[in-house]
Amino acid sequence: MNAESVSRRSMLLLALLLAAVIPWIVPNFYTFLLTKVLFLSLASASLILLAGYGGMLSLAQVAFYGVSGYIVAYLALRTGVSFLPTVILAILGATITGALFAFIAVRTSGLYFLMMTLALGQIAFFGAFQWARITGGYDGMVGIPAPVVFGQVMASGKAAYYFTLVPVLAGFYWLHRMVRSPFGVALQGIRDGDVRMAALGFNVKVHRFLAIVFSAMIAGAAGVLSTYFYGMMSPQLVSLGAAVTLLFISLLGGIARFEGALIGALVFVLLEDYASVFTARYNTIIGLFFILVVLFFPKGIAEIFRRKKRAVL
Amino acid sequence: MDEAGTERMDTNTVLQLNSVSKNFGGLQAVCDVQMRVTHGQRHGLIGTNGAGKTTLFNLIAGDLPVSTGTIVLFGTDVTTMPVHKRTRLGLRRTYQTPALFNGLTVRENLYLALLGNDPPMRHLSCWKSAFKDTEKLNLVQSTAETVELSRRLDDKVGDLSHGERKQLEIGMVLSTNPRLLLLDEPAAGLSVHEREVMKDLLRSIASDITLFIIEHDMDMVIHLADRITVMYDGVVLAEGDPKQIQADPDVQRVYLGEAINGTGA
Ligand SMILES: Nc1ncnc2c1ncn2[C@@H]1O[C@H](COP(=O)(O)OP(=O)(O)OP(=O)(O)O)[C@@H](O)[C@H]1O
Ligand SMILES: [Mg+2]
Repeated sequence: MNAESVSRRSMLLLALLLAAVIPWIVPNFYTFLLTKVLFLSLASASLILLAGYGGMLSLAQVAFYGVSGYIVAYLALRTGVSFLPTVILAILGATITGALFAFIAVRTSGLYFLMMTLALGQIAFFGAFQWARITGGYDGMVGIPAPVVFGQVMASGKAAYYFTLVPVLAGFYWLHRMVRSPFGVALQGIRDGDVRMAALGFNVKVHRFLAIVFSAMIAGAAGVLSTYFYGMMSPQLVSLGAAVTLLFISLLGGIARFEGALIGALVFVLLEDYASVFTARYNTIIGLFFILVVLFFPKGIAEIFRRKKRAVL
Repeated sequence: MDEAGTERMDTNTVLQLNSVSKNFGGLQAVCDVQMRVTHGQRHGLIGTNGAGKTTLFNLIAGDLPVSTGTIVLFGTDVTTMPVHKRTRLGLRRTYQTPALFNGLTVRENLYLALLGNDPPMRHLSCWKSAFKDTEKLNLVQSTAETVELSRRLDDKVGDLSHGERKQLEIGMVLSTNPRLLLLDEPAAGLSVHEREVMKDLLRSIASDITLFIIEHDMDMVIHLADRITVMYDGVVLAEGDPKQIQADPDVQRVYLGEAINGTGA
């Protein structure tokens, strides 16, 4: 192990320690913001897996997010299904949606793939509106009770934070391993040259299929966390606007690597909080900031922290 | 001279093309090509620009479907078989402009070439670290030494020179123990020194790996190939050993004349 990886390891430990204790240091309001950062970064990471590592830019993540979100909302409000099966069914729903979508979408790539994801996102959005008996239509579903885990009600700000932190860390750990695994390195190969990967003996379609399914699963997990966090689910969360916001977060942080998801979500949430003071100029401020980042750090803010090019292997 | 062997496939035949044609709309890029490559052969494919050589490789590898005709690879009819399945039979190819994974390092590129050879289920393992597969990484190391890239292992492929990219491409196909290698202009665009490195590299390839090489550099073809096929406007113009080809009046007229005069050889 060289000096660089030792220092990386200690940095990581420090960050984890900080993440564990921060609700006891900062005011409750910031704990609330940080919780939002956590599940948004997981949603962004699901996009980065597809776009940054797989070369498949997607506007469909909100659809997966939405499917699991609505399943949680429906089961929690209209049935007596308990916490764990609710979560499993929600993520399963998102995963199956991803698999059905991937089955068709792996045949396309580039701009056509993007259009297909846009179509799926729109179907989810209009479905959420139209299928009001299940989804609550325009008003959505409100008043979802806080989850009960091991007999504990995750209602307070701190509880919600830890309730979100643990699965988000687990998600990032899996993603971290995934992109270093045979599957992940091959996925990056497909991003750089799918024809060539086929010539090396890889079944590119199966690979893309699986990447979309994994990504849907992770977006689904983020959807579960978001729904419990807000205690509600509405069509706005699966709108085109939401899809663009997710893309914005990922580009802001840097869509090439997972670090970008955390940085992008953190900057976005702080910016949104700051800009919301100026209600009228809210969008202008966020847009302007985005232009500045694109101008000065075209690879996203995460690029600032990367001194040296690092390889996966 | 191969007419009699068209139907019969002896075990010595690695690749057999039966009346293979390819049209792009109205353009007949490959026209009724009949040929055979036998085990261990160094088979050269030459021809003017646009003669259809690369298209023929694309048909053999499966990157393009044939318009008519059949392709038999190692005794199996692969005419409609997808690319990755032909690869599994032991076919590997390089491209005229190296097609590599630019965002990955030399090490990762070589690793992927080896991983492609593993059973398909292993391609999908998403938990175990590729970095810990010492068996593959050792092979990567020795391949890098063979193609003189061991000092570049941790560099991004996007940062390599053209010559290094050509070397890497050869390394990627060689490390997988192929039975038939299709090399599309391995020496194109190389400097004099790099050309020598490439020539040595190609000569060092084990004799049980069959080579089918497109090359414009006549000097290289003559020294490397034991059999040469000449294409012109989509059709096979001549086939024979290097001496016969050099002496063939048709070939001299359409190809060698220009090439030899052109390079001043
Ligand atoms: N995908 C394609 N679509 C349409 N036309 C094509 C395609 N690929 C090749 N061609 C045409 O087919 C003909 C043969 O091209 P090919 O690339 O096979 O020639 P080549 O012998 O490899 O030439 P060079 O020595 O320049 O590489 C050319 O006229 C080319 O323009
Ligand atoms: Mg060519």
